[in-house]
Amino acid sequence: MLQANREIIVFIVAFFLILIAFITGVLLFITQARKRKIDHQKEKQKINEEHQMELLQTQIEMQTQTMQYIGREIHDNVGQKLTLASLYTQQLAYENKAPQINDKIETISHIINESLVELRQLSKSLTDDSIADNDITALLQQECDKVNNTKKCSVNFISYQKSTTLPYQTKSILVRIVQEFFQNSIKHAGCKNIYVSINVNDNAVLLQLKDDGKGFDTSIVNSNGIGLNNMKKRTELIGGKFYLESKVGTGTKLNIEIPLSKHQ
Amino acid sequence: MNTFDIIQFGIKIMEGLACITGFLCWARLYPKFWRIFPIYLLIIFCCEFAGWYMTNNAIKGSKLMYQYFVIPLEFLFMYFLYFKNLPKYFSKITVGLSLVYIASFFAEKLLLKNVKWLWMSVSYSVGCLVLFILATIYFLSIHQSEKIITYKKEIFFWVTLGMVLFYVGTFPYYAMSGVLYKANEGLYNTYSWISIILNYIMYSFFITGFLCYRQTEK
Repeated sequence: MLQANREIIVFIVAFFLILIAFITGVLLFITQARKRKIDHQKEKQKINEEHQMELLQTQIEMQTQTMQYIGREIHDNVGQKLTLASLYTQQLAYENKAPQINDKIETISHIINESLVELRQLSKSLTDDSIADNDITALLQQECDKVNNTKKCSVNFISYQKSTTLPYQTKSILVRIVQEFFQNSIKHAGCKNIYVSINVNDNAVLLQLKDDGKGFDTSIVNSNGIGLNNMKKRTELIGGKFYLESKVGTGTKLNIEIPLSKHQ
Repeated sequence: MNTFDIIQFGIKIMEGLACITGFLCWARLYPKFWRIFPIYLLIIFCCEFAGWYMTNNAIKGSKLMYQYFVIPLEFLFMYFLYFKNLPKYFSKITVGLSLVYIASFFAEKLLLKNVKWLWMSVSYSVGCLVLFILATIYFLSIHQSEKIITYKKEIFFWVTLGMVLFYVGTFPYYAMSGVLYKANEGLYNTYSWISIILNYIMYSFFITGFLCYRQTEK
């Protein structure tokens, strides 16, 4: 009986060991499953980001193509017709067939010539892809110069850019954000000075925008400001971070950080 | 009724709850073979209840019902679930192992009936071993597949987990209960409690499986 008892105990211990091994296996399985789930979510997020980038790229390409098409049409079609109209009016004035309306003909010719100049400028700005042709420092300098030329406020610009070239959409988005910030600072904040600095290194782009305007309560404006939301949305679209600080009476500060490894 | 009897009777309530949960999820159970599961639970519930009634009223036949109907039904139904849930290339293995169990059952009842040196049930041991092998195959196959991400939503994950914990955990108790009682009564009593706890765990896992499956369907 004692022998049988010992055998039974050995048998039970052996089965307990099997049971423990099984439970350990299940726990390992659950750990592995969690790891796989995290990896799967990361992969899904990455695919989603890539998809967003592709969409953005396509959107920008389509926009550029459309603008270039309109620019070419203005130059080649409308421009040619207006040139012809200008020639006819000049001919009419030269032939002097109706001297009583010569003044009016000259006024018409003058208006047509002015329209031609404006249309050529418009056509040039539509067909010229300055974002693709220039680096970010030059593009931001152009924007700052435009504001400085209006004499409404003074823009101070500093750039710390290394040789790193930025992708088209990053440059495009940064320029649009700077334009939006300038517009808000001049129109709503009534500032005297705007400070712009950009730091481009191998890992990230850091853009800092600051004004000395009247500032605002971020908790109220953030929920309603379409412009601010657009800036934030654009930044997030290329995987960037958007930090806005503002208080009534202390001006507004905007920091944007865009990692370069994500989209290069 | 003492505490042990009350807790033991609670197992029948758990079986009933698992069965009711299964029928409540009936319409959502897909693939359709899963609809057999609540029916199976109902049959087991009825048998357990009948067994309990027969034991309490000194009606003979309870042991025979378990030996010739309940236990073989439990094993064969579980093998059927594996057959349906494992990848197709494991179908032959599942069928083969089920035949091994059936052979062991008939061998035990016909050939090994009067063998004295056997101190545990051969068919029950083979049944548990087959179940353990199939469960291991299932866990390995799910580990290799994309299903590992959504394992919690797999009804079969919970069913397998509950079954293996119960059948492996209670194997020494059910396979050699007679010998165990004679050799060491204290150990037998301890094992009775373990068996009850594992029963509760198994039916809780079945209920969890049904409920988690409902969530996935949403």
